[in-house]
Amino acid sequence: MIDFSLTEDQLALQKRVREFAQDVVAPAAAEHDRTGKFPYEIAKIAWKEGFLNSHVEKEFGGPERGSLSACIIAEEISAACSGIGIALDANALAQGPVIIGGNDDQKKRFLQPMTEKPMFASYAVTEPDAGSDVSRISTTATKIDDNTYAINGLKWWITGGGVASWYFVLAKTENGATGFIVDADSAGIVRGPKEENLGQHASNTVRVEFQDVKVPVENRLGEEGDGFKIAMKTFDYSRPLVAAAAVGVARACLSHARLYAKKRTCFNKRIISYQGVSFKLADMAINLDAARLLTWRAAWLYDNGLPSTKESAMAKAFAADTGMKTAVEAVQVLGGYGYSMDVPMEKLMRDAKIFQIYEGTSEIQRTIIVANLLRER
Amino acid sequence: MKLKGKFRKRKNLVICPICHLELSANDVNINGLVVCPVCGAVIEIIESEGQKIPVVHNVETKRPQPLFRLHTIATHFSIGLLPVAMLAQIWLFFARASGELLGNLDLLLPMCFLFLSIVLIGGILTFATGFVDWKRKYRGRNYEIITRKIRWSIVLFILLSFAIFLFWIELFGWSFLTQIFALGVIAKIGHLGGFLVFGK
Repeated sequence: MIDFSLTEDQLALQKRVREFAQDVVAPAAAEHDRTGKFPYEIAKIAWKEGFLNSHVEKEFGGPERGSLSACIIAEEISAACSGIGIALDANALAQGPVIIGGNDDQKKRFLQPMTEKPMFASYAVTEPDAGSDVSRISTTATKIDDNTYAINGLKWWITGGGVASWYFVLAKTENGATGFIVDADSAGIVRGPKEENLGQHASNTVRVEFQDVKVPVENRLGEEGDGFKIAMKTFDYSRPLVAAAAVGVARACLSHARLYAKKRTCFNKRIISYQGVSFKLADMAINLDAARLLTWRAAWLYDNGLPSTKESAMAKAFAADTGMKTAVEAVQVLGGYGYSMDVPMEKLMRDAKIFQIYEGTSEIQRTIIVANLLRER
Repeated sequence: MKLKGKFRKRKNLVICPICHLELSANDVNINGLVVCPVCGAVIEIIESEGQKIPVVHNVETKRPQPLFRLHTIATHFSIGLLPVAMLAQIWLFFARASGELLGNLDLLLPMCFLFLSIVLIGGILTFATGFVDWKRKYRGRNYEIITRKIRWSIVLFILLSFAIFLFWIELFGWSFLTQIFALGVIAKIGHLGGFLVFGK
């Protein structure tokens, strides 16, 4: 039996987040897009409302919501502003490795404080010459005595890196890639200025340099060499989240375009009555539903402890492509007004592009899907 | 969710895509339309995912212009005269303090009073002509900018009257302080008025 409906709790959560997104996030979106200011105030409200740290276990003060509920939150907030959405969601990506590979002491030291006050954390894996190919990372963690590592290297495009209290850092040790939790106040950490990107301006993306940063062995996740596995496993959780955010953007695009087309007149007719416009809307709706269903399936598999690597990649690739495609078509429906910076449409197109790039490009997702197909008998 | 302060203010903002003036969603009439006071764009505001999307239906190009520009003249005359009156008071203060008579001070005092009175009369004229312009050019539509201008004008009227009263009973220091506040209010009203001329 298949059930596509959300539970009562999930529906109530969706209603609460939608209200927050439309009353607080959406009206602030243009300002944060223009100034690039990190949305501290909004994050504080989101934290107070319990929309952050969704998957932190109850034992450590979190709501332990599960992936599907986290996807619902991500879609709602990103429909209002995906830049602010990703600024808030960066926590989830950083927390993922600790939840997957951390011990109770590490969870208590790093996850619990985030449920007690608004705090941020970042996932620091990408390097200037190692994005999709994580195995190419050149950051090193050298054991200087039995209890301490020294980390050296440069991490690049770190979402939330300028505001994080701690980082999940993937670095090479003698036994291969290893994950570490690094306190952001450690000596030797240099945070770069905010990068100026095409979209999602509210998200604080910086470079973070590690110069002989001393990290105690207690902050190592798992054993040496476990890092790659932990980092990749995190994506099974985080990719549906990113897919949900892309679904949110696609939903906003469809909503804006549909309502506009119903009102705007051209040659004495509403433009929605022209097939050239209405078919675009129909295609947007088809892709949006398909993207959401793929996303929910991936999240459901994860929540039920089933293998979801392929499904997460499928959801992420399809939702990201749908977000971009829908945004381009929605701008077309609004015509010149879609291109104007006074109308909240062009921002969606700028914001949508990054979904095809971060958390593994759309091409990498297809590589993962193919690799899984080849393994299937 | 109960919204406070700037969150509530932001929620009602929409930008005219023609002249870039920040309009308030509260300005919408019973037909769901708002006419931009600057460029005359007839805009329907649709709400989508918490965002305000303006749909331009028409542009009111032929709108009656203000008669004889009386509002502008009265406004700028008052704005110009208040600092003159204030500078004269400063001069008077220093002249008295130093004991040096740099002219006929007996004449300067009533002159300041006269200037302040003219500013008040000019302010009343500004208000009256502004009201006529609002009826003619803006067809008596409710605009948040104009409502805010009216509110600040009332504050200005009270401040100026009070300043003149204090001047009359020879509490010059307090009168001067009130004039400083009045000057600030004039700047605020002028700032709002600028939106209606140049957009934002």
